[in-house]
Amino acid sequence: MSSSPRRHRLYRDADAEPGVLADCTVAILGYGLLGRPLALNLRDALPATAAARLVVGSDDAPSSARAVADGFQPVSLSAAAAAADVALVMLPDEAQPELMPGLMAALRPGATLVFASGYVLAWDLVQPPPGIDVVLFAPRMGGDAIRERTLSGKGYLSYLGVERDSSGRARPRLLALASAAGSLRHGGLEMTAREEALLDLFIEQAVGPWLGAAVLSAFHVGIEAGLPALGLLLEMYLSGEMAETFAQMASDGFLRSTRAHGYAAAFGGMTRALSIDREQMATMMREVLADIDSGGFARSLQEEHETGYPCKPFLEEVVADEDLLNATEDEFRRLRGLA
Amino acid sequence: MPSDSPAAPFATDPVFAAVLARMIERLDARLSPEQRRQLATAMPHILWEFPDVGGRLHLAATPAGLSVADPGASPPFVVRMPRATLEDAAFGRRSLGASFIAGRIHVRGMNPLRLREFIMLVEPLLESYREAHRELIPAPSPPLS
Repeated sequence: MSSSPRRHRLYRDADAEPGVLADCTVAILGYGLLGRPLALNLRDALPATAAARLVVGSDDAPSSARAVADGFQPVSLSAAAAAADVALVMLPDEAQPELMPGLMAALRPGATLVFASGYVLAWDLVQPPPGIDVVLFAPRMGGDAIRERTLSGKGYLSYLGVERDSSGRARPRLLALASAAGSLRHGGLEMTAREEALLDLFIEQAVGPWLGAAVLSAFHVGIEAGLPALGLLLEMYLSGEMAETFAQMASDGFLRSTRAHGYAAAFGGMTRALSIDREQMATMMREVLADIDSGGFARSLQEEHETGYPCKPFLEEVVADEDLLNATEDEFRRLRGLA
Repeated sequence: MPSDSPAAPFATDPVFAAVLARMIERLDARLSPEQRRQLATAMPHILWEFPDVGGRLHLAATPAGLSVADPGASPPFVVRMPRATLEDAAFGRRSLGASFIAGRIHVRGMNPLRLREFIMLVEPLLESYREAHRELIPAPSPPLS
């Protein structure tokens, strides 16, 4: 990977020509966490002719029922793919190597295949057939937030990339789609599928576990010391103060936002940060990135899928309602009259 | 860390040591040849430490079978938990996942991409512990947590 600086390109609504999709059939393959908000956004914002032809494909009964409740008439994934000029792949990453060969065989020549994640492309787990355009439209936001931010006019950031342009229409279609899906009001950053996949997995696996471990450790250390459980969770995330702090980092800057806090917070945070073994942390993060970059993580995830998700019961145990943390959150909801 | 100290006793409590040894025998009988092969490839040497009772258990896995021998050189995957945590999980009082979140289980040296092989071991291991416990300690298990 190169560490040299580069100029970024951020696409906005003005860069898109909405009419490019006017004669297209856009198909959403999968009506889950991401497929649903994007389908709703596209129905609202595509040119009327394209909105009328919007197709939802789903082979999952609960997802299909949700699509019906939202006013769509879902068809099978393969029927949706066969109808598509532009097909958005909204299926779980690890399921795509199994599902996509059949769906791609149904695509018409000249169709544009849109991936919401670079995962299968980055490690060559799916090979789109010749004559198909391949693009990346990867929202950097969870499903519900996509819809809420679109309805409120904020938009949401996405990564955009053209991986293969067989027809010469890939980029205009991608920009028109990202605009109609509500992203370009905020912006779409040019990115390759491999970069998107590496970034996504690296931050999930390098930063997420440290944050999670810090919250859990602080909670249990505080409990041992006799601090109130609810107070510990309020300080860390339950009051929303930490979410506001992260929002301030995004608006003012990660380091600069420190000035918005009292000196006690800045002084305490800085002095304690100096005692953290950053080299040990960096070593672990390098190992994580090397595992991801080499395809080791992808192989492990695919084995997990192919063997029926054997680790899932343990993950379910981890989030089950046995811990004091869950009980404390429930108590707070009860206090607020939400439970 | 205890695992780096000079040879610690297998377990200070001989009955607990016997239960652990019997657990491994039962686990070995329970695993299929394919499971043994997978475990031997992913985690040929696991060291369980029970700091509250001073117990340690080496689990050496080869395709031919499991044993409680310390195979030496290779740096082991270490699982550290109180005896009560193991028994809570074995007797359904508190899951290993919940104990992990509560900070009662510490692991080091595990390749996170081989979690599946370890998870595969958990249920047969807990079942084997239950059987070994009932076999060697006939009285009902007292609540430990």
